[in-house]
Formats: sequence, C-alpha cells, structure tokens
Amino acid sequence: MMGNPIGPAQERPPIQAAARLPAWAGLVVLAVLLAALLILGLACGSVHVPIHAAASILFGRPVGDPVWRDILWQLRMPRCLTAALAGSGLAVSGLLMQTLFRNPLAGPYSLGISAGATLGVALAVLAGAGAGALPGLPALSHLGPQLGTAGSAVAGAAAVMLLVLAVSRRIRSNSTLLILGLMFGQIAGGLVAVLQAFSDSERLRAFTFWGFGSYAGVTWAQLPALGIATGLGILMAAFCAKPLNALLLGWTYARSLGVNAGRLRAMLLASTSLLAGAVTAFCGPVAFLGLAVPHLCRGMFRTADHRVLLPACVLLGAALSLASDLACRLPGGGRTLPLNAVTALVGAPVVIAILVRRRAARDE
Amino acid sequence: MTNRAVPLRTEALAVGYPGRAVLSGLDVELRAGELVCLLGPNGAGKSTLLRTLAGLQPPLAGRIWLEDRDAATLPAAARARRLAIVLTERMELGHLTVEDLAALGRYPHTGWSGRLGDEDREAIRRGLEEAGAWELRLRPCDELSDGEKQRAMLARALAQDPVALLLDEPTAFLDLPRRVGAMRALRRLARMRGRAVLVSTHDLDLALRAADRLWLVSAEGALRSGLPEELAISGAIGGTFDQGDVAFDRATGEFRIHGEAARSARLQGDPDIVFWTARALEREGIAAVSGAGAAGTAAGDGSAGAGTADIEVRAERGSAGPSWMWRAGGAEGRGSLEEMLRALRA
Repeated sequence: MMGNPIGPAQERPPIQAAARLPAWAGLVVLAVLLAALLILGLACGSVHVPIHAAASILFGRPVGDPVWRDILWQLRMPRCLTAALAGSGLAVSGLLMQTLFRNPLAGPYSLGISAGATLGVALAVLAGAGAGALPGLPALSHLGPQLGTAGSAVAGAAAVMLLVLAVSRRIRSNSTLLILGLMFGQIAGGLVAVLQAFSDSERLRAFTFWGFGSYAGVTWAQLPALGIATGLGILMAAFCAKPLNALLLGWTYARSLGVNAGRLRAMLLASTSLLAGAVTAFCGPVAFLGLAVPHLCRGMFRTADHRVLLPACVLLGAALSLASDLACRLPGGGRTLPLNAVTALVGAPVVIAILVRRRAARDE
Repeated sequence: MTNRAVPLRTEALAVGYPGRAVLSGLDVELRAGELVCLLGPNGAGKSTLLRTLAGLQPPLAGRIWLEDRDAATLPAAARARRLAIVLTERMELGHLTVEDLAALGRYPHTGWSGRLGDEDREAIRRGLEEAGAWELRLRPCDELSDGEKQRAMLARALAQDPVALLLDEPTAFLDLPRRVGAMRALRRLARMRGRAVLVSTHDLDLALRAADRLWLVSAEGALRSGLPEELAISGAIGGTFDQGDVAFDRATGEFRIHGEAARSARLQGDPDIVFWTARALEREGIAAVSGAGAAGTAAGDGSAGAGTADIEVRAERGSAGPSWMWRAGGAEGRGSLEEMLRALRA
C-alpha cells in the first residue's frame, strides 16, 4: 500500500509505452528528407537538370552548364526556397494555434486567419492602398509596395486572430470555434468579393492568379522579406516552447505553474499572424499544410513536447510543402496542378483520420 | 513573520468577484504537515477561495502569506515554487505520457528552455512515487482511467515541490474505496514532507475521519476553522449542512433523514447485525431504542423512551446465516431481514 497511495495502482497491468523515436534521430531523418526534396525540386521541371548539378548548386559548388545554372538559380531556387519557407511557416503557425486553442483542427486556414490575410492583400492590391502605382502583385520588383502588401496581409491575419482569440474565451466547444473561424473567413471572403467588383480587370486578374496559391511568383528580390518574416515568427515561437508545453494543461494550470498568460498570448498572436500573414501574402492562401503537419509530427515523434515538435514542424512543413510543389509539376509538358488541389489531397485525409480516431477513442 | 511551520496564512482576506464578496474577513492558516479539508454547501465559495489562494484570481481585500512572503509581491514563478494546485477539470492530454506530465511540474524551477537537471529528475521521480503513479509513468495520459489520471495530475503537483498543495474535489470521480484511499494518501503526503495540504470536498464523512482540521464554509459567507471533533460537538457542522429533512447526527457523525418515527423497536442480539437492522428499520420510519447488546445504536432522537417499544426484534447469527425474530402487536414472525421488513410494513 505504501507504493500506491491513491487507490490500488494496478487497475490495469502496466503496459510498455509505445517505442518512441529519439528526437534527435527523427530530426536528422527529417533534415535528410528535406535536403533530398530540395535537390529533387531543383532537378525536376520542364527542362531536365541532372541530380548532381542540382546538388552542386545547393551546396555552393559551381555548375558547368550556364543554362542549367540560370534555370536553377533564377527560376527553381527561389521557388523551392519559397516552398520551404512557406511550409515551415504554415506548419509552425498551425502548431501554435492547435496548442493555443487546444483544438486539434485549428490552423491558419481552418480558423479563417488565411482569409483575413487574403482580405489584407485584397485591400492592398485591389483597393490600391499604394494608389495607382500598383501594376499588380506578381509584377512588383521593388520592395516597398511588396512590404506594404505583406504588412497589410499580416494586419488582416492579426485582426481575425484577435477576433478568434476573443471569442475563444467564451466558447468551450471545439467545433463551435471552428465554425466561427469559418464564418470569419466567409465575411473576409465576402468583403474581398465586394472589392473585386469595384476593381479594374488587370488588378483583378493579378489577384485571381495569386488566389490559386503558388510558390512560383516569388522572386529573389522578394525572398528576403518572406525569409525575415518567417524567421522572426519561428524565432518567437521558439521562445514560447516552454510555456506552450505548460499550456497543454490549459490556461488555469499554466498560470498556476507561473506562466505569464498575457505575454504568452501576445507572443503567440504576433507569431501566428506574422507567419500566416506573410506566407499568404507571398504564396496565396495555402490550405491544409498548417493543419496537417503538426499532427504528422506528433504521430511520428509520439510526443507533445514543443521543444521537439517545433523543429519537427519546421523540417516536415518545408519537406511536405516541397513535395506538394513537386506534385504540382508532375503532369509535365508545362502543365501544372493548382497547389491547393495537391495540399488538399494530402491534407484532407489527415484531417479525416484525426476525426475518425478521436470519435473511436470517445466511443470506447 | 518568518514562519516555516505555516506555509500559507491569510490576513483579513476577502474573496469573490468585483462587487460581490463571497467570503470575507478570513484569518486562517495552513500548518506544515496538516491535512485540512474545506467543506461547505454548494455555491458557498470553496472553489473561489481555492482559486484565490492559488493566485488564479485576485483577492478583493486582505493578504495571503506564502511562508514569509506576501503573495501579491511574489513573481508568478516564485509563487509556483511554493504552491501547487490540482483541479477537477478533465482534459485531453493526447501524446503526453504520465512522466511528461509530471515533468511539467518542474516549469517554475527550470530555465527558459525548460531543460531538466538532475535535481528536476529526482523531483519528478519522487512525485511519481509519492502519488502512486510510478507504474503509470510510460503510459500516455489519454489511456488512463479517471483514478489514474488523478494520480498523474497529483504527481505533477508534487514534482512542483510545493510547501502548500491545494486540491479541488480530488475524490469527485472516484468510487468509495478509492476515495478513502485517496484521502489517506493525501494525509500521508502532508505528514511525509511537512507539506500543508488543503482539500475541498463534499465528502463530509471522509473529511471528519481523515482531516487534521476542517475549514467550514457556511452559506452566509463565514469560515470556521477547527478540529473535526470540535466542530461536530459545537454543532457547527449541523449548522452548516442541515437542510430540510436532512440533519447531522452528533451521536453517530452521520446525516439522518428525519421522517417522523411513528414506531419504535427494541433490538437485541449480535451487535453487527443489530447495527444494520437499525439502519433498515430507520428507513421504514421505525426508531431503534437500545436493548441489551445493541450498544451504539441509540440513534433515535429519544422520542421513544428506552424500555417502551412497539416492536421487539431479536437478530442472531445462526449456523445457516443471520436470522431475525420479531414481535409487533399480536403478530410474531421469524425469517430473513427482507421478510421482517415486509411483515412490519403490512
């Protein structure tokens, strides 16, 4: 009786925990996977480039053929880097939202944060926040207006995030929160449609293409802005890793453990808005990556520890995003699939699996 | 001020919500090594008091001292190193193992990255052992039963290594034997490391037996602190809980349902069987009066004077199990308890 003060300890025979992948080994596997996908992403396309040339340019060695070099350096490299940054950013923001709202189906897309960012972009591009000087989003080469659009997207994401945060304090039901997120997204979408009706055809076309979601439009000139925004967002998330673990127990326990709730909420708001907003501004609204990747990481590492999940989401988010972009180019011959079609085909089954497993667990 | 023997003390504390004080003027203390049970009717403010003591909501007035420090001036992490709380709310913890959960208790002790040192690991191991959760440590939390989950949450609080431990209704989801076991365990936890343990509970009977001290909250917003027996003798427990037909019986330490006892019965025979027979008769509105061998069952309110009874019952433990003989009015009978009750009902 001494060993088990509260009731008999042997209510069920102790079972061995499922074997856990050591965190470092898993992260190495993911890093290798990411590097392989990067090389593959550089090598594949309408013009065939051998793997070794793609690998050379990735590791900074000279590439013989100048045509290959131009294709790799001017076209495929920015696209691949964009895909990696966007995937990391979305996955990390999804992880933060799932813990923040204690909702397994939370993510930048499902809670309407991406829609908020879209509204921000629409305001900048269609309503012409930069007056008549904007010739359309992808054509922008100088950084100024680009940052304006990105800033507008981050502000839109933050606005929806604030709304969701505010209602989440009153709402206990997970599904209600998701429906509300969906409604916020619908409102943002409605406002975008209104803006579209009043904008000229050239801007409308630019905005419509952007809306399909693509990693192809980002140039070297725009990459630093995307890189800094995602880097900053992920850095902020890293500083939140320890309190995020405490938050797994809910706000009450987190506060009783000494978590500064106000500061954590502000940090998470800033980080998620920055990540979801910036990625959406540069790549369009991309669905499912932010929602699915954290779950894949939890399943792979069998842990809820954010000090493992954060780097895992960065790596797997980038890898899955690159794989999706590769799949877009799969048809060949200059034909491409829409990015969101691919991410939906990969991500939706993950969501379905989560729902089915949770239902099964509850019915037991 | 420095008083290691009093981990937690309140000074003119008022708790509640802005504009609505639930409890006020509280001057109480939790002593090291003591198990204190916080009792009171629903809505009397037990949870509000616990939340305020834990720093989860601000006091309306007064102070809380944690050891020798005013809790209001204590940084959140420093408070968390002195005081831990276990709440009732059920939660989904997913992939977290019990050991991971206990490790979260080290939050206020670790640096910004949350890296665990040797001291932390030792505290986690001790917490798991003391809470009886050592065998569970590798199990994921979402596979645990309610009782197991409770032990896991307790292990987390103990890993926090607090001098004061607050628990909100820790026995709510447990069956009776486990409730008794849990309360005894909490008492041992208080004794073992000189912690002060405060437990809110609805389980008056259990609290009366296990607590070193009771904090009794009345619906009017007063708090009385004292030994369980003192409070029982003084009538404070009855004053707090009596409601309608239900009243606290000082003689037995139990609650009784006051039907008017229309008849009385004199019981004789085997003491154990007599005790339970008296219970059964009470349910039928028949008050038991003491007879030979029926010590401790004089539980009626004395309306039926000793010696005069409408019914005579003799209960015996025979070779074929217990049997009852009864005489009521002119009728006599012999048989099982159920047969007797049916006969007396007629």
